[in-house]
Amino acid sequence: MPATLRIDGLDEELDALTALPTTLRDQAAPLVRATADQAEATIRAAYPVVSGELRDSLHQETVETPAGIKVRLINDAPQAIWYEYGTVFRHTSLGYARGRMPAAKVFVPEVMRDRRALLDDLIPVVEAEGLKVRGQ
Amino acid sequence: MASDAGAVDAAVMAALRADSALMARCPDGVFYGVARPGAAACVIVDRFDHVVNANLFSPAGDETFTYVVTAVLPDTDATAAREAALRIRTVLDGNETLTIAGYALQRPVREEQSLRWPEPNPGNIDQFVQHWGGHYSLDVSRLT
Repeated sequence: MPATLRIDGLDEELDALTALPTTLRDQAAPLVRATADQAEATIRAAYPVVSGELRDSLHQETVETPAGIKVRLINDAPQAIWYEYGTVFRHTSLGYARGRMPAAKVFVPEVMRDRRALLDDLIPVVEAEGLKVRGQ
Repeated sequence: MASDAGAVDAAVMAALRADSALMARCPDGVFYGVARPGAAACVIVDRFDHVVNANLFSPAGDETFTYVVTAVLPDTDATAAREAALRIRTVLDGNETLTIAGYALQRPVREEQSLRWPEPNPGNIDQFVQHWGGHYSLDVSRLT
């Protein structure tokens, strides 16, 4: 006599699994955006204002896919990288010393701090969907 | 005695100084934060982040250090800076033998991201510098 195994609810489970990336993205998106906003506000407040270009060149770019969201914080002012990482000792063509700009370390450490905090915030979101987080 | 975070800085710098191929490209030496005046071809190491992570057993279960390590070379051409940056990567990325006084390396050093930027001098068109390197992170735990 043939045996039959019937499992009900597989279609619903498959639908839920298929939707999981989008569900997680939707739950994570406000956290990601809030983190980016926090980082931007802190960095903007820390920048000195001379011409205002350094501060005004700070902006976000958001990329959203069905399975994820990415917010990039960008400063495209030409002097932004010199301000962050510092410059060498400069001198004029006649040899007069003009000193150096020390590394301000404003952007990178702030983004690293906020990224760590975001990871801590995202773990409960993932775990709430039944997934386990290890090796963070 | 608590461990000294400066020992990690020193270990990273010592590893770079010990690489003869890197020192041949950056003969003025390895400096922390800022090169000495007059140093033209050198490596700069700068600690950008240091976080102490607690765990169930210790308020300082492990620590993560992130350094910006760049070759600084005076040239409009970036070829030499690129070669020096690749030597930095060879020395640091994946290094699992770094000896640090008072600390144990928990996993190999890793390059988090590559960095490259030119630095023209607006006040002197003859001074043009290439910076090339990366962000490197180390996870360590205190031995004392």
